[in-house]
Amino acid sequence: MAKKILIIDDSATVRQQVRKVLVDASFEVVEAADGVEGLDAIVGRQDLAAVLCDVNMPRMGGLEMLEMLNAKGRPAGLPIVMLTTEGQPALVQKAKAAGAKGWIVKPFKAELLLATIRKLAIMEG
Amino acid sequence: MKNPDNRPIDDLVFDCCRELFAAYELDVSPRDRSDFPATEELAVCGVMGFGGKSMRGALVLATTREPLEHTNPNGFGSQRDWVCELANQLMGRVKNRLVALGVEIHLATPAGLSGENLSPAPGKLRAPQVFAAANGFVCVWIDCEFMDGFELPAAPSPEVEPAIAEGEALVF
Repeated sequence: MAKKILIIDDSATVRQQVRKVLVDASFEVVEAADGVEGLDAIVGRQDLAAVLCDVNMPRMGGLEMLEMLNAKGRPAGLPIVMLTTEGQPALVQKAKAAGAKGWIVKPFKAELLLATIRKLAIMEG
Repeated sequence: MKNPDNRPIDDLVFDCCRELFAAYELDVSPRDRSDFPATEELAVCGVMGFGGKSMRGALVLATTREPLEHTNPNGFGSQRDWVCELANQLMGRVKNRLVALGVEIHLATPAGLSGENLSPAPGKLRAPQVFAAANGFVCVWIDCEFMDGFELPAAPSPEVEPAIAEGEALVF
């Protein structure tokens, strides 16, 4: 069964670009447009293999979503990788402390994004 | 706050713009401001607001159709959405450079703006930077104010840890 990846980004274009990379590599993809939708897409489900999440989004950003997930209880072992224009080490450490498992700086390279997802999804799957 | 001598920040934006489009395998070459496209060719632009203790302002990125198609060859999303995302990625690069100089700013989420006669006001604001790209044009301008007494540092601060490079991926 194909592993299911959730992509959370306020840009529909980015979501579709990531979708193509993942679908071409035989993953299934679910989309959300901000942290609120991402939270709804994660809490209570057990079929996600990994999450790719933007940081700066309207309504709720990625780091805030991580904190909310920790409070609500996220699916055990679900790897969350931040996909963002941000590159400051302090932010990276903040995400790591909140439970993120990876960080990709845009514009992403398809091969690196795939390698990251394959490594984490397989580790946790 | 005061309007700064824009050359240092313009140079920084110039470099970031070339690097961003190079990441999409698109060479951009600087052109004269008189090459600024006809307004009907610039239907929409992406705007990124930013603010911090030392400086605040907005970056505007506008392109003709061709660079958008080149950088998004599958035609995903709308041109409005994609130019906003490009403005977001450009401002992200600018932010990383500013942080290396010891200047902290916070970014808003991008906004798309469409209208007629999209260009900086002549005489008051600084000229946009115009690049030829993919048989079209990319135009970018940054309009900012500095806190009184603040000047953009000339060199990176040795105390600041370098940002993660664009395109790189970390696994913890």
